[in-house]
Amino acid sequence: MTAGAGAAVAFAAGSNLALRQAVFAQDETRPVGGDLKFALSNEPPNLDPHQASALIVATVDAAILDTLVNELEDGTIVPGLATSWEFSPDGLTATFHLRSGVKFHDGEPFNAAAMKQSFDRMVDPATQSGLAASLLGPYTGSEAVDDTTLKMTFSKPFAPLLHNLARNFTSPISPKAIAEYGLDVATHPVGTGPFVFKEWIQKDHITFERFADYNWAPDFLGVQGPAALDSIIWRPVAEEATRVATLKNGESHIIESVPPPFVSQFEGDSNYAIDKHMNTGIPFCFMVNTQKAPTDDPAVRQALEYAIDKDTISNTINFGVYPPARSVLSPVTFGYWAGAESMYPYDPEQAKSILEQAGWTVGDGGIREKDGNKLHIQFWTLSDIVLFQNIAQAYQAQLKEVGVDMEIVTLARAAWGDGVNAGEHNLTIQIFGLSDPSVLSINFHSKNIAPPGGSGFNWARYSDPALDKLLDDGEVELDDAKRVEIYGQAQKIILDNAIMIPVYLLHQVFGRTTKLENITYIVGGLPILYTATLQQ
Amino acid sequence: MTAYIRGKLLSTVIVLFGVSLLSFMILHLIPGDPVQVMSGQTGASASDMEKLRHQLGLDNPIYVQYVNFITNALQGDLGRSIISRQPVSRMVLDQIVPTIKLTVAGMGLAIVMGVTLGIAAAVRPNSLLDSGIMIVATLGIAIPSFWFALLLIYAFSVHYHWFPAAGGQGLKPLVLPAVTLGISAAAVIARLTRSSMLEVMRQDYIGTARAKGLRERAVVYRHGLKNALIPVVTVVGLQFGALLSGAVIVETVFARQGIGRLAIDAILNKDYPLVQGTVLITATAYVLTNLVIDLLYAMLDPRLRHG
Repeated sequence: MTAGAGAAVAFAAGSNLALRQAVFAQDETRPVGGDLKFALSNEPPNLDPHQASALIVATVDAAILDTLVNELEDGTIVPGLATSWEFSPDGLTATFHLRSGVKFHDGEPFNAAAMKQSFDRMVDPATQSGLAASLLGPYTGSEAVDDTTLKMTFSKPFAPLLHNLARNFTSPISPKAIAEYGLDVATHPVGTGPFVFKEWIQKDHITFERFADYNWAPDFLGVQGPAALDSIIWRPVAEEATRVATLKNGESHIIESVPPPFVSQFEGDSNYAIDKHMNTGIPFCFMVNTQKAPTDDPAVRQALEYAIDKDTISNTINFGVYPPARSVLSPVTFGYWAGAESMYPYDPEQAKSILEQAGWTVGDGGIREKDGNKLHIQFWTLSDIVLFQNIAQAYQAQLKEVGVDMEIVTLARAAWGDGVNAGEHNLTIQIFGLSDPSVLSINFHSKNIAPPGGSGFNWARYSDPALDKLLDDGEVELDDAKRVEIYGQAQKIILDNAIMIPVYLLHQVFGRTTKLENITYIVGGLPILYTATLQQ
Repeated sequence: MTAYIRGKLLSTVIVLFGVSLLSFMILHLIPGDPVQVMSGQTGASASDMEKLRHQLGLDNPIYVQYVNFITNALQGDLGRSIISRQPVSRMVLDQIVPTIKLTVAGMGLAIVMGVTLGIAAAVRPNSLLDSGIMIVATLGIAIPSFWFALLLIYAFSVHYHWFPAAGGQGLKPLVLPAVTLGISAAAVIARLTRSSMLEVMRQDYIGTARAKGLRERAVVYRHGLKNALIPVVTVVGLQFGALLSGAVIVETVFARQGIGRLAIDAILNKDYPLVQGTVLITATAYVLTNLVIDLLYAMLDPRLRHG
């Protein structure tokens, strides 16, 4: 062995020890190393967070990106790349103090100028941003006061800012990568996260490798330094049964989106674990069209709320995996109003009584009538999602019990979208996973009722100045306690008028081998693989 | 012979022209305004959409757009994917190789299994072997490939860890997908080979060959099979097209790279340039394959050479 080779071996052994020490200063028994095999439900279309809008991109990119702030599962905002922040008294300026010593995977330093460049890139129309631009709201620009101080300015106070900055769609990308790749950052993402993008073989796999210099993990994660895993290999396996098979035969260490029918086989097996985390935002629900008969009748809408048996839907169609939803927001969303929980228990007798009193009396076939009109409603759903159709059928049977005739209209996306925007439905399905309560504006503010020929997410077509004012106030109120109060009132109005029927709480369900441990889940069930360890 | 070839080439060109027109029309036949669909929920303003419209050339008259499309396509430029920003031609060509590998493997298996079983059944007509083979062949046609694929995965990937369930490069990951893909084509080929052989073996020239004293094996293979294979070659050509589209299902279930998955994901993502490019290239491949089959005929069937 030559001196050079001997030195190389010694160096390798030494740096391995140094790596172990760097990774687990707290606990030397935690395993280091391993190539994690992660099977996804579909391939991310694009790895540039500024351009993308699909949740799967956030899941994958979490390993290579950092955010200015982080949101814990209970909604608390904690530091990330920003160590502290303050708002000006008029709420139009937000100043962030940034960590120093942070760099991008290509060596570029992370500083206020780099963050400013990323923010400006998000709102630049040339980027055709999917979600990032709307997450910044009324952003007008920013100023890099010095390397570690960034001032963001807005045209009006923007209360959702911190929750939105916790989403990695707003993460910084290296200025060098932006200059070199432009929009092709989509296939060459360069961030500051604990892993580095290595390669993407389209439709086959994406590989990330450990970033050895990583040393700025947020405190709440409880570890520091380089990640334990050597690499992560993401594989898109769209077919549910195949994805489950790859976990069973060891081809994958962890799979995303375990379909409800398969959950129980893993829960009973000690070699595997199921990680279930609730989604934020508006749960899976039915939107009730207030501008079309007979759902324009408040009594009918109230009856629809009492007539739905959510427990049966959750236990049978969803195999007990997704529990019933009882409010306008999911319980892990900041601003959730718990008062809704007692509002509409399953009570078919109450439903019948409300309809009877409103003049809807039982006619032939057991269907109610009033002034010669049958109580007939149309439920619009998508042809490519069998789960929604199954739920519709269950509800149809439940409504028949109380004398409502529900017709299920099943269409492909384009036609369904056109019809729903035009308000041709009485009921349709909706789910909206955003972590800030301003999501309520998107779905219930009158400005979002689709104009003729256009689109808008207020499918209840509900217009109420009192509700609009609450939703507008909620977006500019920077005091958290006051925001919670405002959105609480908004949720009460929405449910008092029965313009949406909560059905079930979607969860992110991951299945993994128990050899894989220590994944940290943040808000909305996003897995942070930085802390993960793999026994080999 | 040359008249035959000339005829085939001319009809191929006409079909390719029709294919290019159809794939061009996709962007213009979809409901709604494609620019609005592409801008989607990004909050693009009216002026942003006008810029996009101009960028995509959608403000030109339609025949100008078509001429530009063809001119670019002939130079290999099929535009860029909206979602991944990569050149469409590169994306499609990257994925076409895995599909070809899968289709060739599937077709190869199908021909070997199908012809062998078909001959075995034909030389002992109405025997137990014949009936058995035909029953299996019927099952092979009836079984949905989707279900069969999952059955194979649970048997040979989960229960016995002999083959991987998802993706992978190389030979081992190719086995289960190729079997799934080939099984229905094999069944069709087996039945057709059998009936074609029975038909041929009844012909006078077969009796003549036997009377001349040739060994039975020479009679069956040199005189019988070669003629019996003519309709089989037609079916192989048609099956190739069926395999190309069946590959979509197999690729999705086994999470393999390929044109099928590329097309599906492009459609779901509303990535219209990618959909157009995939349709154009796949249809062209199918048309050219059939041209090759037609030319093969001329070699196999002397009647066509001089007709």
